[in-house]
This record gives sequence, C-alpha cells and structure tokens, in this order.
Amino acid sequence: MIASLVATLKRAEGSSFEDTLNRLRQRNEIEIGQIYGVRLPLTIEAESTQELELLTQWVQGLNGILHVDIVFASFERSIVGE
Amino acid sequence: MALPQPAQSSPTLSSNAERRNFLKTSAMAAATAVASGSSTWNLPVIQGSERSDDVKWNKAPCRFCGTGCHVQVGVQDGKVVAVAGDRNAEVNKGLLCVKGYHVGAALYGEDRLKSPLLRRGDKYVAISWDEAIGVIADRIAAAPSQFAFYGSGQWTIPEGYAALKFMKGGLGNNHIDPNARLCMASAVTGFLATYGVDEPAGCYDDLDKCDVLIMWGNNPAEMHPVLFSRVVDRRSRGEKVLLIDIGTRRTRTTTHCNHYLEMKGHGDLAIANGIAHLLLAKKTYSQEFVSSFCNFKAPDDANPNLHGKSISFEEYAEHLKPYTPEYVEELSGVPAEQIRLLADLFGNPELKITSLWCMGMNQHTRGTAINSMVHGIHLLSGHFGRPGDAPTSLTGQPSACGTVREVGTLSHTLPGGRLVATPEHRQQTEEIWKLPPGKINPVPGFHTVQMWESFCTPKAEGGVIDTIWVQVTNPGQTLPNLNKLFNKKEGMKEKFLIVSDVYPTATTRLADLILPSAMWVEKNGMFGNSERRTQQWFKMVEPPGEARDDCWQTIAVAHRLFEKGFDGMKDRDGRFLFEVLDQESKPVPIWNWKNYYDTNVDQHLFEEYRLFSRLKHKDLAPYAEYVKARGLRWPVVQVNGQWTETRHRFAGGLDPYVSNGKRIQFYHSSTKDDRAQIWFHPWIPPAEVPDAEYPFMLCTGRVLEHWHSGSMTRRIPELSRAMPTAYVEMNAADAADAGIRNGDQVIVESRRGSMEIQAWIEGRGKPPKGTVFVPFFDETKMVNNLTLDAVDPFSKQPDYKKSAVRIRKV
Repeated sequence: MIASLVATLKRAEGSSFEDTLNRLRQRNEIEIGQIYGVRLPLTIEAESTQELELLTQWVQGLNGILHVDIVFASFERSIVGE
Repeated sequence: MALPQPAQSSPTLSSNAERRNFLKTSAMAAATAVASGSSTWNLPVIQGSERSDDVKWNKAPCRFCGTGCHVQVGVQDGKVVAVAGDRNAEVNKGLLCVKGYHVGAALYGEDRLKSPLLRRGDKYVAISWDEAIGVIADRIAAAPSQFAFYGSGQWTIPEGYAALKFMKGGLGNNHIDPNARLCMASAVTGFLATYGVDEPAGCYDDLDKCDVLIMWGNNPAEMHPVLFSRVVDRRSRGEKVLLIDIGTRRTRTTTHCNHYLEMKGHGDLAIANGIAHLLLAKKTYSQEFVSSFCNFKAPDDANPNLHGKSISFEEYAEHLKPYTPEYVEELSGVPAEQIRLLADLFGNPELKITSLWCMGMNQHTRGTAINSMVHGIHLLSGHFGRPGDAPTSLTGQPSACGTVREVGTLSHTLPGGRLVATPEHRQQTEEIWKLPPGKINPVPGFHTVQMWESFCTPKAEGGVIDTIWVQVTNPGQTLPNLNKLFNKKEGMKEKFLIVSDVYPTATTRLADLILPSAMWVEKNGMFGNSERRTQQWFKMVEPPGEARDDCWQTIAVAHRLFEKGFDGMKDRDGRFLFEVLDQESKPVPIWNWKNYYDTNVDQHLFEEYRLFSRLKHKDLAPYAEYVKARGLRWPVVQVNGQWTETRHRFAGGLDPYVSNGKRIQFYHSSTKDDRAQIWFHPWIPPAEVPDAEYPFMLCTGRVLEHWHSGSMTRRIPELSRAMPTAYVEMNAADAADAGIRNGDQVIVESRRGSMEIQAWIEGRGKPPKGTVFVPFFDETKMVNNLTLDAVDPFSKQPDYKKSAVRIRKV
C-alpha cells in the first residue's frame, strides 16, 4: 500500500526543519522528496491500510509538522483481501 | 453492458515489485508536483510511459461534501484500487482530505445491499426488481396525491431532475423535497432576499485573494478541510491572511485563527447589527456603493414574506441605533472591543474580506435573517464584487447546489430557479416537458418537516402522506425530533416507506421496501458544488449484486405507470415522459436495466435540463464540455466559440451578464432596479433556551472523519477506527460540577428524547460553560431524538444548533 503526502513544515520552538526531516528519515517506510519552501513531498509504504493510517497520523503528530495533505492513495490490497 | 472508456491508459509492469516501484515513483511525483506548485504537471500515472497497465484512470468529483474536490480514480479488475488528488482540478489542486483519501473504499463495505427486499411481517424477503417496481407503481397509482419523494443533495443532477419531472410533471404532485432543506435552505432564502437570485456571487478563488477570512459559525478545518488548507497554505508561504472565528465553541479551526469571538446562540444576529451600527456611526460604510447599488429592507410584520418591506436609509439607521457594541456584548457574549475590531475591518476599504458560513448560520430559526444580514454588511461596507471580497456560503452535500438549488428539487420550485406558484414558470416548464397546459400543480408541496409529520400522523388524524420514497439520504437519522418525525412510523401499517440506499441505515430499519442502489463511480453522474461548478463523471465499475442506479429506478417506475395507462406519465402527444430516441428515432427501452446504458441517459436528461438554465442566467454548457473539464462554473457562455465559465457574478468585466460600463449590476434585483437589498432584522432569542430544568444548550454537528450520517464513512475501517463513536463534548467546569469524568457514560435528555453517551472533556472541541456538543454521524447514538424541530419562517429549515438539555451521570 502506497500513499503520498505533502507535509507543511513549521518552525517549532527549539527545533529546525532538519530535525523534522531527520525524524522522518529514520522511518524505513517513509521516503522524503525535495523540499519546496515549507512544503515537503513524501511517500509512505505500508503492509496494511491500518499501518498506513498510523504512519500518516505519526507524521501529522510530529512537532515540526503544521499539517498534512494527502495526494495519492492506493488501497487495492485491503479491498482484494476483504 | 458497455462501460465508457477512460480517457487514457497507463503502463503495465511485469512483477509486483516493479509495479510497486512504479506506483511509488508516481506517488512521489504527484506529491512533488503539488509541493512545488508546478502548473504543468498531470497525473503521473496517466502520463506514464506508453506501455499499457491494468490500472485504468479516470476523473470524478469526490462523493462526500460540497467542496467538490476532483479525484483520479484507479480501476483494476473491475474494482476501484486507488485514488489520487487531481492536480488539474482547480478546487483541490491535487490535495485530498482524509475522507477523500478513502472515498474508494466507501464502495466496498461488507454489508452492501444487493437485492430488493420487501418487508413481510417482521422479516424481509428478497424479491425481483420487476416485483419491486410493480409494488411502487401500484402504491402510487392507488393514491398519487398521497405519495411523496424525499431525496438530497447527494442525488446527481440527472437523478434529481428525473425525480422532479416524475413528481411535478408526471404526477402533478409537488410533495418532493430534499435533505438539503435541513442543510442550506436558509442560504437560499438569504440570497433570494438580498440579490433576488440564489447562490454565491464569488467562488473559491476568493480564498486565495482575501486579506481577511471571517468564519461565521463555521469549522472548515474539519468540514471543508481542503478549502481551509488553501488558506493555511497561503500563510505558510508568508502571506498575511487574518483569520477570524465567530463561533459557539472552540474547534480545530479556532487553533489557526488570529481572533476567536465566542458567542451565545443567536449572537450572530446581534454581531451583524453591531457591525452595521458602527459602520454608520463612524461613517466608514461605503456611501458610494450603497447609493449606487443598494436599497434597504426590513421584515413586514403585518404581512410576513421573504421580500419584506422597503425602508429608507434613515429608517435603517434608526433600527440599528440600539445595537451599540456594549448592547451587542450583552446579547451575544462577544466583548465590545471585538465588535469594534470587526467594524474596523469592514470599514477599511483597502482590505479584501471574505465571509464563509455553512450550517451554523443555516440551521437557525432566523437563518434567512442572519444570511441576509451578513450579505448586508458586505454590501454596506462595499466589500463586494472584487476577487477576495465576497460573502460565500458553503454546502455540506456534494450537489446541494447543482441538484437542489439549480435543478429545483424543493417542494416549491421548478428547474432553473422557477416557482410552482408562478404561472409563467409553470407554462415554461410544461412547454419544455411537452405537458398539457395546466398539468403542473400551482400549490407548493410539503417541505421536509411537514412531509414527515404528515407521514407519521395517522390518516384518520389528517396525515395525508401515506407513501414516501427515499433516495440517497438517511432521514431516520438526520431529521430533527426523530420521535415525532420518524420513529412514530413504526407499527403504522397504513403507511409505506420505500428506501433506495447502498447500505442498511437508520432509515431502512423502518422501511417496507428496500432497494439496492449503485453509488458514485458505479454509475454516470454530475454534481454541482458550492462555487457554482458543474462536474461530470462516467461509470467506472459495476455495482454489486442487483444494485442499480437511482435514476433508472425512477424511470422504471415511471414506465410501469405508463404501461398501466397512467395519464401523467404521457406527454401531450401520448409519448412516455422520459422517452429517449436513438439515431433512427426509435425509443431506447431505458426502463429495462439491460438497456439502460445502451445510451447515455445522463446526457439526455442534462441536455433537456439545461434548456431551463438561461432564465436566471445560470447558463450551462453542453454535456460534452463537462466531459472535457474538471467542472465549469456557471454561467457558462460562449466567447469566441469557446464555452467560458464565470468566476464572479454581478461585477463588470467579470460577469458576462453585467451591462457594458457598469461596475456592479444586480440584474435579478427583487426591486427591479439592479440593486441588492440591505436588511435590518432585530435580534431575537433562540426558539428554545436553557432553563432551570434543562440548563445546557446542545449544539450538534459533524467531525472530520465522518460524512453526514456516517453510513458510508463508518464502513471505512480507517475512518471508523479514527472516530469510532459519537460523544458529548462538555466544558470541564460543568463536568466537574456534575461529578462527570472523561469517558463516563451520561444521559443527555431534552423535552423530546434522551440518549446515553460517553462524555469527552477538553476534547477536540471546547464548548464554553453551559453548552455541550454531540456529532450526529453515529447511528448508535441518535442525537436527533433530542433536537428541536422549530423552523425558520421562510426557509423552513430547522435549528439543530440550539436545543435545551440536561445531563446526568449514569
């Protein structure tokens, strides 16, 4: 299952954009793209829709993330499996 | 049955890994294009290499709210397998909210209805479609005037048009009304009372241009998140946009706002008057705009009517005199300084100000009044007619504008802004429908609350409606005061409820006949969103089992009546009312399901419907233009041979119907002088206010994860897990006073009903002391057993935001 997001970054107190990017890089399921201003494209790859959802929520909950927009989602495995 | 072919195809990859890599690359490309703001990007899967893939992509608007985001839908092996935001769509620019992200999964809940079910005693038995159509036709033929049709803004435009023609043309019966009566009827009456014609003058572009965005009882961060994201995004790029939240509780929207003005219920009426008072007192209103383009109105108490009575500027000023900031503070609870802040903003001609609202102003027993008053502030201050300067209402349903307001599926309307009570409008409609003169009933039918009250009243006591057919909505959960307007149907054997839906719901629970419907991309469709944008999509997958299009269901019943010799389903030449001819001028038997997609029924219905669109300058383009576009905003007119949409109405240079040389022209003015009406309405208290017996004010509403009654989104595991059940939001001090802790079960009860529910203190929303909030998406927690059914006198829309309740711990 693959999704892509655009995360809007914020300058949280005591941390930099780089801190946020490093936290994202630590997750194998997440690949980050080239940052444009405060907007960061990234993909999430997961085994299940639940995992995809949890990872999306984790990104949204990071201190340096203002908000997350979803751009792309595939979910065929969850449908085929049901 | 042939499916329409998607516009383009995309590559095939030999292995799963290769395909996964391709999807991942595509997904990253899509996100990068959105993040970079590239204007040249197209959906990468579609623009991939020339190899063909098993995944076929095509466009569709999202199924859920009235924003009208466009998605690209990926289909493989007859199933929807992927959804992407459509970068080419101006509405969402490639983005989706959490509901849009999961919209494809809404098709695949495990309990889809798959065959017609007829109640026999306490059980349902599966019956054939032929038998089901016969049951409905027999009920209607036996008593056509006692039949009612109840739909919603989830009807596609052709579906709603067919239902309207079936009722008003075929049966000569005006008892048709939509769920939209409960959502945005007061927005309609507000526009009519102000401009003489319905729907916003502005569009979503205003969100990209405004300096100040004022949200009146509105929570777009949860209800219209993609639109709100456009504004937040501007700020993240360093643009200055002042956000102001005027509300009765803190929400996710509040956290983004510069100012939060916490008001009491109906405080908005006082606030609007307070702003107008200060604009006059400080002479910061736009004298030029007012003297050139506006008249003044006040309610006509001796003869209450939508257009009221004309008053002079001096009388208007006299009415406003009492509404000093201090008096407004007393009425609304909003500090006088914040009223002055609003008045100063409106008094600054350099700023561009957009107002947004939705249910907070519409679900209001003075909904028409507050809608008119917010328009009035914009007119009085001259904040109108420039991109970014606009009073704009939003809708909750995907085609509340397209199907309800434009097609005219309300009990008093005909297509294209016509009224059943106007002889000329009936004549025009009879001409287009080829009906015998005098066929259309001139008396408006029952509006929603009347319709259901009549249905739930025994015939012997005057309840004349004995059969209701519900399509695309869930009144068993969404009507107010359910114990009066819906639950009483249980056990009333003389009443017959027909429900077409995709899943079992609170409404099917009491149905006598349940019909399985196709949904979204299982059928062709067209929606009209909140910014006058008409959108089109093609069927992409087959519906499950025996599920069939709502529009086919309506036409099949019409044809069964025609076969029975029912005169109403014949035009004046004796031909079937919904006749569609093939290229050899032979009727296509679209009433047979196997033949329904032999032709594009949507296209035939739409081409007929658009003949109605010119009267109120809501011109629609030919169907084929919508196939090419991601929606077009009406009026759509031909300019140099090109069909061209209109972003801003009534403004010279922007609206093709404004006469040359005029800056502003309200060409549907109710006073026939090209002027809009600025209204005074007095503040009055809500229909029900807390007292010693019921000390809390209950507000109901929605949450980010669920749409409407939750019948689709609660079947999407991710959304259901994220927000599994309804709750009552309480103020921490109130909870402490009652000994209620987070997670405690409590009884919430009103004079009309009660419910047991979990308390959430200091949760997502934060209601002030003395108020509580319960979302209505959860059919296991029916908050509408408690709500009041008092309605606005003109729009007939109920107030779901102000019911007095009491709370006790279980």
